[in-house]
Amino acid sequence: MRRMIAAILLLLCAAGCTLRPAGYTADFFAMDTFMSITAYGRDEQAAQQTAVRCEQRVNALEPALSRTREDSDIYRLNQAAGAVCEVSADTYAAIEAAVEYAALTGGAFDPTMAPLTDLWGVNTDAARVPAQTEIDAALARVGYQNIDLLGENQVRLLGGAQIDLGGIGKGFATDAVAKLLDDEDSVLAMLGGNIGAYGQNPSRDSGNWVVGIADPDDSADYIATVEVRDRSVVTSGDSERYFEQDGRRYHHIFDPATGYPADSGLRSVTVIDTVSTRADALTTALFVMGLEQGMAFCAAQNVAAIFVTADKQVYATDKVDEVCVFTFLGEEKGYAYAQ
Amino acid sequence: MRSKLRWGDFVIAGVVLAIAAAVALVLALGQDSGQLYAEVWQDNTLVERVALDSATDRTIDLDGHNIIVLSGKTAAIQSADCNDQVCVRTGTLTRAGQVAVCLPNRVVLRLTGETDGIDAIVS
Repeated sequence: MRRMIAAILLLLCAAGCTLRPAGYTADFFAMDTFMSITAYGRDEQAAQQTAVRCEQRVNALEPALSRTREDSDIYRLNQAAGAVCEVSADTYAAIEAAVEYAALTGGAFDPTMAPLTDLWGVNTDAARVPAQTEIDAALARVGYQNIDLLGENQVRLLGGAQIDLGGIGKGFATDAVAKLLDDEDSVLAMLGGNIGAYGQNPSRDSGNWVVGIADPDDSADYIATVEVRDRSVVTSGDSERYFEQDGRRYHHIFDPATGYPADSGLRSVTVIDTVSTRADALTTALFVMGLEQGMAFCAAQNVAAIFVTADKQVYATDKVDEVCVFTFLGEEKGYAYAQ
Repeated sequence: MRSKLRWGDFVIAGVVLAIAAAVALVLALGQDSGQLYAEVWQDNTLVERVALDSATDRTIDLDGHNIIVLSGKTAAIQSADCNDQVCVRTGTLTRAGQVAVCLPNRVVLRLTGETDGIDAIVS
């Protein structure tokens, strides 16, 4: 009898070695992008509960962060013509973060670029190169200093400013997902260009998550990988959202100093950070700053960033090796790792 | 207290290992090891799931809005009738985990199966 019990226990152990936690993926469209959240749990039901909880949190944020939905706080604030508006706690926190990162980057990231992005209309029917007078008029309304945070969820916009939280919205949503999770959860959240990799990856012995950094010339493929855990990885680049006019390409990341698409010699910037909202804002700011100024900023602020230049050089800041395992794989595609 | 192993013990151990191996095999097969699939989703509904192999040669026309080409072990959104063309610019998908998305038409093309070393691509 004892032998039978021992045999059954051994069988369960042996079979158990091959069992992986169940995974469940929730795919959905939100915040004008495609999102995919995969959760792992002891069974499919537990994994599904976690994934759906995350999806619901992201969907609940949409009216707090959208500027096109007429029922949103930002839409109301942009229409208020300078009057004080009370917004939700989520909206206030997001605006506060946007202003903080705008100040940190000296305005290279600016959440009041809406008049300029509307003017250029990248990825819309109305995409065009505007006249300089139009750009000057739009730029006159750009400036994060015109956001007046009054406390207790009260905000007003001065000088005709219009807020667009598109530059940090997906990062803010990724952070909101992270806050829902506890130590036991394993979740890979892909919210547009923002990845959040939390908890232990059950598919790998290391427990880490491996994220590919896209090739700017072929965004389905990658030229490097970062191995992370409990961190967000965010990329901004010029490869997917752009239009062409008179043989020239105009992408969607605008320089608040010129009103034109940033012409900084970069193709993409990736930031690895525990705070996805910060990573989101910094990728845009670093893309605008360019390689030299961007590397100096990262050294001063201790930022883990990977730069890909137009002449196919890949640079990683010192902080990258501290927060992840970075592997360069772009040699066959003509890239060089500038160490 | 001492006890010696008898031949019966070896039989039980052998049976246990054989059953464990069978369970592992069934689980491994259930995970579609090595097989690559192209999934086409429209409005959160799975329209097509095609096993890709070297002989695959197929075009999927989503009412003229998106043309998807499956060729060998690759998949791509060849054309889209929308303005942004992001899905077309995404290029050819060759590995499990890669996704091309047409937001205006709410079409998702994704490769699934055993991943070859990455969990996600950030672009």
